[in-house]
Amino acid sequence: MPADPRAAPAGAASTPDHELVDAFRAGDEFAFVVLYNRYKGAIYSYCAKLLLDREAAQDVTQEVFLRAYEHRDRFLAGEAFRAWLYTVARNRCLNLLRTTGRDVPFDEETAAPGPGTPFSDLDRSERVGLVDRGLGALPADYREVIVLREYEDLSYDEIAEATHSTVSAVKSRLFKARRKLGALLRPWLDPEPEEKTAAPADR
Amino acid sequence: MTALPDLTPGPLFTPFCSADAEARLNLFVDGELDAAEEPELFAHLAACASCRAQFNALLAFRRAVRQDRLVLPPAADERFFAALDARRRARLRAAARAPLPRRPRTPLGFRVPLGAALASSVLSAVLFLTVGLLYGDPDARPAAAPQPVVAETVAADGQVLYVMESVEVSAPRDERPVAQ
Repeated sequence: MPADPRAAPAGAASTPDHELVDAFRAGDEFAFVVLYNRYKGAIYSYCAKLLLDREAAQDVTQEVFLRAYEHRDRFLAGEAFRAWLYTVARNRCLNLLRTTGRDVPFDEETAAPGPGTPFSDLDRSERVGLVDRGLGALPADYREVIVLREYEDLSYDEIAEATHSTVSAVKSRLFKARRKLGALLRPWLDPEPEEKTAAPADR
Repeated sequence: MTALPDLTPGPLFTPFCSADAEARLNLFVDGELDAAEEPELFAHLAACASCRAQFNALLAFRRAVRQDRLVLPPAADERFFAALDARRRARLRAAARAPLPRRPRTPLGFRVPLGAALASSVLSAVLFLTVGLLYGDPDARPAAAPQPVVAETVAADGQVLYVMESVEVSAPRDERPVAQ
């Protein structure tokens, strides 16, 4: 172990989670720092896209890791640390969504940039803003599977585990969520491309 | 993109042509489609404009997601470690401040007429714990807040012995409980 308390031990990047958790349980604070650095980004982006609120997401991320620190003895033997983090984050986020209940309907008319602008013409912040508005218009259980699949890159199995669900339920929800999101963003995702032989006159 | 004969009217949203096609396309996009089914899917995409439009929409969405790289700002890290530190310190303060519990004006606990054997085993247990705590490896317990452990016995002669993690033994160490 290096003397510098701020530096993670050499080879930390490749140490599997369960070894770090065991070390942490035995009192190794460095192991906790490695775990924090390993998963803080994933938990933060998950919360940020589920809550659509970056500051709240930072608060929840902090709460999740503080709880991990305090409850090191509670990790079940077989349960993956990452899965535990997602579960805690998810519960917190869903509670927040229930209480704030901010339902922002997606209004195509007032959405800027105007519909019909292809995605490729938007700048990055416009694109992100549009996607966020689309996500915000989804119910929480649809939004969460989209976030876990697209932003967190979890497999169907991992999503099922994180949402206490089955793979077939996950698939059903995910495909429907994509259908709805596709419908909302269609004017931008697939506006009438030039190459297509458009049907004359009516739009 | 090659121009394809496409008679789909306007920008009206056209869903997938069938539930099967929708499922297969979703599975493909998630890398979950059996490789054997890919040629059929691609052939269908070539022929079906609505499915193709959906496919492009999915890909465009995914590209947008990939560009939305959220990073936890360093200030958040600092806040977290400061909060962690505050909790650690609070726990250590609480543990250190913990009053000697149940210091009895009238002795609580049980009065045991101590036979010589019991007396010496109590004493040796006390000494063992004392020595262990004094000379134990401090590195074995970094930073984690110690849980106070208290053992008390009221010896027949009225001496009260406390053993805590902070090693406060109220009786002088060379004194022995009086054998009964």
